[in-house]
Amino acid sequence: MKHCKECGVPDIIGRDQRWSSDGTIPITGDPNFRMGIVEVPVMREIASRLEKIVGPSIHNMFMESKRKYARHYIDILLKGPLGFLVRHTASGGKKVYQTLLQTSTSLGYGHATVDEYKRKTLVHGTIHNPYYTPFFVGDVRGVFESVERLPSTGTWVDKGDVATIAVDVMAGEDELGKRFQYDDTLRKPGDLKYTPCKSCGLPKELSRFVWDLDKGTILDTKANERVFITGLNDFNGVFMELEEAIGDIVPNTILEVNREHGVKLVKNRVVTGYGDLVRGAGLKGLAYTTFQGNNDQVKLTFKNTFNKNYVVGRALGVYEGLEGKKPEHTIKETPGIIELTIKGRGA
Amino acid sequence: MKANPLGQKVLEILTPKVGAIVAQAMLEKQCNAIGASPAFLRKDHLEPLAKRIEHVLVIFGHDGKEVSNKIRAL
Repeated sequence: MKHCKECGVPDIIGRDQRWSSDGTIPITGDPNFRMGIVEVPVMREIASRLEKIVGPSIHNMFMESKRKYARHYIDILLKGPLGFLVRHTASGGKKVYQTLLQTSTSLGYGHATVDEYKRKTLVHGTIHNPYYTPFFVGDVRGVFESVERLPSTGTWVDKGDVATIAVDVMAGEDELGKRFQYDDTLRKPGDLKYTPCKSCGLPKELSRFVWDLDKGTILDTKANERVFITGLNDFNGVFMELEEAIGDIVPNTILEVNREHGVKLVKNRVVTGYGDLVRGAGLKGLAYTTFQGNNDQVKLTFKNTFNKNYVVGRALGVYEGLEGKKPEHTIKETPGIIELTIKGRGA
Repeated sequence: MKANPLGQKVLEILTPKVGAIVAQAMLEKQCNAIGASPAFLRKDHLEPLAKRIEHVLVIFGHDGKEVSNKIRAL
């Protein structure tokens, strides 16, 4: 797979995604479809804590949500004559899946191979270094459903750093076909500026991420943690449904995991000031953030945030780490804008 | 908030399906959504409550209809 000689980012990343000045990363074929860079440990911790509350069905929920957005993503990639060829020629089949799975290595999903394929029936495979197996099964289901135009089921078996996955055509009714749909199209303008890489034009700051295309991993060298690039509504589809079902436990979990991660980022000197938080959120496509601070309090304004509790939790953790005080906060919300004011508890 | 006897019966139906923590959280959330509360649940709340629980249970991989029919029958 080709990559930029200057910053090391695979060409496919710049071809399919665009880093926008409003703190979002839309895909080139659909400006409303947002991608983002998410830390693997944060994703796994959210899933693990929700599993303790909800049970193992949480993993199926993530798979269901992911399949929906993966299908949409592949539908966009396979628009026009290419899609016709893929869907209607005998030579399509296994090779198409192999090519599309290669794309997923550049997104940091792991290294996958197709073991068995029968048109309109099944695709079985193996993934090494999966970022989060249920999400990956959702990805393969999305590919299957886009290519075969049929609903699917998905199962997996995790064996350490390897997982076997099975996606089969769905026999009965697709009961969850219309669930896990979170559509957020509201965008506020921003004025984020990135220094472009001289060679590929992508933000130069992306050079902190190192792609290992053999393993299918992306390492954030600044934080020394694995990240992946994903559709952000893959998460929101699950969070929205769960919050509707069981209430505040879900947003509180997301906030708490991110608060703890924010503290850790400061402790490890990945974040040394609020400017790092502001730039990091934009580069990762999570929000357009501005910051104002004085001796008593810190005020952060988020626009285009993909998930309120994710970014607020992160900001609270960063505050706690930088100021050495437990945070107390208030939130003022207007459509598309979150104003967060933080001060030390008892201040 | 402690559920009244009718709310307890709904919890007895939900708990084997989703566990005690989720059952409690689900009852509270769905009661709030219909303008009720577990502590003051009445018979006339059961139909809208059953409908909502049927909807949300599907994402947990359960047959929502089976559960909602049990709630309606209370």
